[in-house]
Amino acid sequence: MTQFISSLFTFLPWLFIFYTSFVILFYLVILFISARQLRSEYGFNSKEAEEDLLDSFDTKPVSILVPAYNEEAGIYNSVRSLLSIYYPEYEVIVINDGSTDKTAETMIEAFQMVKINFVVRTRIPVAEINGIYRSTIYENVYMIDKKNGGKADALNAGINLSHYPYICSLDGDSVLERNAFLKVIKPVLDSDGEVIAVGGSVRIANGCHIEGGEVMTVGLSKKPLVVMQVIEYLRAFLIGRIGLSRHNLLLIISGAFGVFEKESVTRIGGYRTDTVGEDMDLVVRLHRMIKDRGLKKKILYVPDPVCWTEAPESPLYLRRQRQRWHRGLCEVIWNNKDMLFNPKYGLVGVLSMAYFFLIELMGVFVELLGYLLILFGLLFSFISVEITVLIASLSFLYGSVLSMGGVLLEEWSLRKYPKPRDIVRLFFFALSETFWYRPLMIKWRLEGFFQFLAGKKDWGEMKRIGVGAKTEAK
Amino acid sequence: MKVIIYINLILLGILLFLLVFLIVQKVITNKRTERVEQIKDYLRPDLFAYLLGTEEEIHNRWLNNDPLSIQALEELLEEAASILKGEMAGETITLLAEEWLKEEYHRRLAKGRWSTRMNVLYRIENFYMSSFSHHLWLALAENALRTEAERTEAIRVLASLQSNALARDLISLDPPLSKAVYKDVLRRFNDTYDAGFIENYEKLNNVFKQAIIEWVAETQEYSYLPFVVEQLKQPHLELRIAALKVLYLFGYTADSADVYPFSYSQYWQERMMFAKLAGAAKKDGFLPQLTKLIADENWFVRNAAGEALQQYANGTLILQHIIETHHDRYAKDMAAQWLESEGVRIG
Repeated sequence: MTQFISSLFTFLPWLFIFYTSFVILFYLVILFISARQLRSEYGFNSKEAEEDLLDSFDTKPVSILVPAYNEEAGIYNSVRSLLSIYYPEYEVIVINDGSTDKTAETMIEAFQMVKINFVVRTRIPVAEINGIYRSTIYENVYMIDKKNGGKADALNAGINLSHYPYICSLDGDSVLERNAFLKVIKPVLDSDGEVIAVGGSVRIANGCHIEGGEVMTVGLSKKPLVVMQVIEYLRAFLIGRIGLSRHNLLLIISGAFGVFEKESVTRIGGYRTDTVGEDMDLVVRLHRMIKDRGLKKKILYVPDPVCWTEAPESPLYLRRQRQRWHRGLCEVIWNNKDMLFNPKYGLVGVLSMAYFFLIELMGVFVELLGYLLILFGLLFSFISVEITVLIASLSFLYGSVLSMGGVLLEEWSLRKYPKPRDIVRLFFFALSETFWYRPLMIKWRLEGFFQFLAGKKDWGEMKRIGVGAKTEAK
Repeated sequence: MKVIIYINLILLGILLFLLVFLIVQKVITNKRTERVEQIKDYLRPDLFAYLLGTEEEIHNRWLNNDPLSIQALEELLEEAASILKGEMAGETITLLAEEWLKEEYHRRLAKGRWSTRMNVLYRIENFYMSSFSHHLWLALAENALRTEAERTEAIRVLASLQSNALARDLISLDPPLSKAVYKDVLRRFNDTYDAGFIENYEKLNNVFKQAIIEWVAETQEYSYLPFVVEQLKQPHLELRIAALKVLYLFGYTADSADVYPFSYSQYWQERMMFAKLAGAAKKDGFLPQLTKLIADENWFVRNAAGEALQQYANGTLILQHIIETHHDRYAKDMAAQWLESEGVRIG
């Protein structure tokens, strides 16, 4: 027995060391690819390209789907800001998913909506619909009032009603830049429809000054929890997604902002309703469809920040979000486990899915192992001081150094934060990540994992402050 | 052990160094931007007076070859190009750009960074700098442009500059362009070149053909109508649909014999377009077909037929009749929807 334990303590540190070194190497390669691409686009005057699109007849009309569950505080501002985006043809469909507050009443009153007798083309089965409303002030604003069925179900109902060939799902708490659609639809047009889904990069709105649905000045929140989330977004979006997108491997189009070809989405049955990771699941199944049918289609990612979202400011809501995210990740991988390591699905199977399984999902356990080894190594000297220091260094490299790299990459290539002070703050907060933020995340993500095992399906209350409303009041 | 700690320290050192470097760079850039704004303020009154023709010449010491001044001039000309739309001002902008920015732009076109080269291409188009026509054409013909985006942008610029060489060789460019780019070219070229493409229509590839049909819709030129009607006989489905769409946009109502056969097409897109055209024409002869199509197996066709019927003078009666007597449940639903939508027509 003692021999078993002692060999375990020789094995575990090396497991951690090899795993972490491998992951860090992987990230560095991706970081390098991303950096090269981003830098070549630095300072690109995208307005020129967009101007051409704005008055062209070629832009594809888009249906914007806004699922709303108890969003009476922010729904008016969200829809208002959507009405001022730069795009030739679009409609806004709010789906009231059985809210228990006055979401529907707010919409009906603010936009003077009337019930219409619309024959919906039910291509995806959804929960019962109470009524469909249309605004009498804005022809292109609709609302579906339905029984509660979850976010995915709400989106599916929106897809059924939508009149246009492209759909975009948008959370009620996000603000779109006015030219967001011009930016994301461009690859679709340039490729003559070969691109079937485009994700835009999402940034955190807390700390920015937003007026009438437009980000006026980019700033950084004073709250440490928010700053850490900004760093996380930078790290994930800048490093991960660009590197993967270049090779058509993108697996997450963030639930906050993405445009999809409706035909492809309905063909695979719309959003999956029995998971909280419905956004990622959709993209995985689109990849599956592309490979299964041998299509020459692509899923792309646009690095320009086009969507600003409200990050949770309190530990309570951040915790729920992270539990939900991790549970969603587990569900998506479980539901699509046949794709994992499957060469039939090409690089998507052996690289993207493997990445999400080995690094995003399993990483939690290895990171936890690292912290435990350091702790026990120090307390009981099970392992040598050298090994402990090595483990600590790798944890630091993985947790803090990569995040600092993400911050520097942002400053080197996109420069969205105008004040030098903000960059310095981001940098030093990134430095502190290993010491408090990472352990917190590990705990919450583990909780999410156990919820997955327990088969928990609901969303958990989310409190919204309403981004637009709050900052405008200042 | 020591080695590990040293490695950590070195890594941290590198990152800190990068941070300081980037911050210094940021401060310098911020300063530079401020300075350019200042120069613009000094230069603006004289420059605009010149562009508007109130002054014969520009006497301003800020108009020089200093990089900051060049940048200021560039941004001011960009500003002027977007607000002064007159032909005179446009020509003056071109003259100034050719005089002061030409060399700099040639240099930038050879730069390593993609975004720099792209931005210059946009500027050349905005300032209408014809002197680049030959250079760009050579780059295009010799495949010297490094990315696909630059290639299509160069094509757009050449079209704007009315490049004869582009008009001559557009058809033979390999690989062929996407529909959107063909349309961009058609929009930019003058009438003579465009008429040339229509004359040689049959020699073009299908994507180009479709681009032409769709472009015709944008021009709102009714003289192209016979040409579009001719395209209804195309063997290629996409081209027929595109032509039907154009006829619909033009509010074509002339000859029902041209469109009638599409009401029993095997393709739902054609049946739908027929219903739309019938709704625009409002001819009694189409009524039997429309009442058939409102029970079509395809939702889009039913929807279009319902909308078309509603547009008839006695549409309400017809829809009411369908609700009461039609044997098909879907047809009744659709009729009910369109009957009601009349009540909530939104002004």
